[in-house]
Amino acid sequence: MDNLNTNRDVREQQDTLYESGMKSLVRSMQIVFVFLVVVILGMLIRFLTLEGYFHVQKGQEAVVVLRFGKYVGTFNEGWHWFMPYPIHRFITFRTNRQILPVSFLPAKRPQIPGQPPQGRPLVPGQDAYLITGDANIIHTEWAINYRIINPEEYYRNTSWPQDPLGPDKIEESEIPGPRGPRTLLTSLLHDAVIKVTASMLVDDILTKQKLFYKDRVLSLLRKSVAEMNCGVEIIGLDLNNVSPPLKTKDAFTAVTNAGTAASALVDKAKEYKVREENNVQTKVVQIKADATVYKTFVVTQAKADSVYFESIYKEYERNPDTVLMALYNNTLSEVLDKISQKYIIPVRAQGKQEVRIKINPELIKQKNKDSKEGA
Amino acid sequence: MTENNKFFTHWPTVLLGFIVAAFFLVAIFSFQIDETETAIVTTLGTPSEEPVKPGLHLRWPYPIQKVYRFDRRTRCFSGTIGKDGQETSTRDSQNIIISIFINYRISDALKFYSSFVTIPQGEVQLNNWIRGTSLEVFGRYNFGQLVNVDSKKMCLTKIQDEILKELKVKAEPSGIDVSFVGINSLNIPESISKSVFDRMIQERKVQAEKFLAEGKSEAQKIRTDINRKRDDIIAKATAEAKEIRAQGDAEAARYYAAYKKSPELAAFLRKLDSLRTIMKSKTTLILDTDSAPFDVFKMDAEKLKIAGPQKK
Repeated sequence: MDNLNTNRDVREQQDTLYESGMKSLVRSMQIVFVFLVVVILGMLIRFLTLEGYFHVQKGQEAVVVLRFGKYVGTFNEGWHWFMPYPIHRFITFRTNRQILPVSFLPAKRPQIPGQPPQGRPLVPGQDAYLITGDANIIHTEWAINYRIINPEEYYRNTSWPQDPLGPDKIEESEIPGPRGPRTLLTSLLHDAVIKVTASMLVDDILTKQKLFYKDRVLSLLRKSVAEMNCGVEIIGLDLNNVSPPLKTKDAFTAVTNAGTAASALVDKAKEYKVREENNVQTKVVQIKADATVYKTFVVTQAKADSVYFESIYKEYERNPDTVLMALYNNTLSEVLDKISQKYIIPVRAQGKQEVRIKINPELIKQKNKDSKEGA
Repeated sequence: MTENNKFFTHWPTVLLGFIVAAFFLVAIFSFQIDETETAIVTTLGTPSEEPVKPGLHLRWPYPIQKVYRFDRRTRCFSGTIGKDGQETSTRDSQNIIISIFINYRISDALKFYSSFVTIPQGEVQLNNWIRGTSLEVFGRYNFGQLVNVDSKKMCLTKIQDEILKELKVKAEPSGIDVSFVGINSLNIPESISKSVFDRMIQERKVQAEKFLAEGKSEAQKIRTDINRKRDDIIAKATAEAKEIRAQGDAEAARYYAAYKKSPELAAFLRKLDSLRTIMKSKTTLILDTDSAPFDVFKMDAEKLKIAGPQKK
């Protein structure tokens, strides 16, 4: 009997323990369930509210909204809310200025240290270059400045990548490669540059018509882009570098130097021209002035001589010999007075005589003086 | 507690279950087509008669129905020749390496699906068409029609138009619209580029010499011109000066009319004037004693009596 009672007590104790355990489990499950419901409701509320909000930075980006894949509209600024995915989808495009570098340069190859880079033949597929209208080769570097001005057209017509702000997607198909809008713009620039380069002379492109060259490429690029209806506007195009191949660079430098030397020659000649023009004017003035002075002098002299003659003539008429002798002697004494070297030689009766005179004694004196100073 | 009471007590849980189930059902039995896409739905392998338009559409799940989506945006495609270019010959047997690109879009999804099923397969065919057509068209032109400074002789645009026209004809039956053909590169083989460099260097040498020669010639021309001009101006000025001098002489001559009264006296006076002008301090003068007044040096006493002063 005691044993029976003991067994019943044990069973009751076990039942009580089982019941309380079950209760604890149910309570725990209930807590977990409530927690899950709260989490799901929270996610649902977040999904229906925050997921549908987006903000557009004016001038920087535009958001295209689709409802079940259909175009709804483009939003260029402000806060907006739509029912989120899968009902609506929001695609953000950059609408500010973007720069796309494009180059026609040879591939970079390892150089020998300490030696200048050497030119070598160009390998198609590795080295990019252009052929000019006169069948020469040049390299150029460009930068396209563009922006998306019509996000709807851009969205509809260009094969923009999954991340519209990122680079073009490289498609991993049998023919791998990008197909996107940046590839399109790069290819259109390639086309424009090749066409324009192939129609111009190398010297024009490298020197005097560089700006014209760039403008022609820009014009052609704008035309092609407009025909694409891709919602892109070409703001500008920079020609950052245009150069001949490395192997021919020295030859082109020699041409530039020759041009500079030729210009220097011409400039020197022009300088000579200006100098001569000034000199000749001075000379002309001098010649005319001399002539005028001569004229004045001659007339004045003639007038004075005439007056002098008239005054002498009156006396001469009265006493010609005396006047002549007096005039002669006066003049001779006046003239001889000025002359330092005078030699009066007596006339011999036979009429023949030898006279030796050392002329220019001043030169000898000067020579002697110089030798003394040198000593 | 009745069944109804249980339902109302746990309605949030039931609603949540419905929502989740609805999501799964919609996901399984519907599909979305974007504005940038077109699609073909096959039912047990049979394609639909019309391409699916953008929007939300219902469908039976796979394997009953299958959706083939095609991107219908313009794709810039250069094929395999876009990488390294393709060597070909022009009509005048000049070797060139060309690379072209095309812009295309799928204009008819049903035709495209019937022809290729997928875009990669379609692009393989398109690549073959590009290669074949570009080789054929470039072979009709001379090298001088690819690069030329004379716009009338330059035919690159014409070549592109011809390739475009032929590609359109080939691609249109397959639902592909080729809208543009452009040139990605126009190169020459490596061996030829070396000879082009040599020619360029030679041409530059000639040009450098030409520049120098032109510079010298122009400089010489400027100098010659100015010298000639200077000589002309001086000649004119000299002529004018001569005229002025002549005027002076003519005017002076009027005063010389007075000399008619005694030409001998006039001549004598002029001689004296000349003596004054000619004789300067550095002149060496040699005279003999026959010249007056030095004749006094040889006079004898008798003559001196006559010539000298008389004693009274």
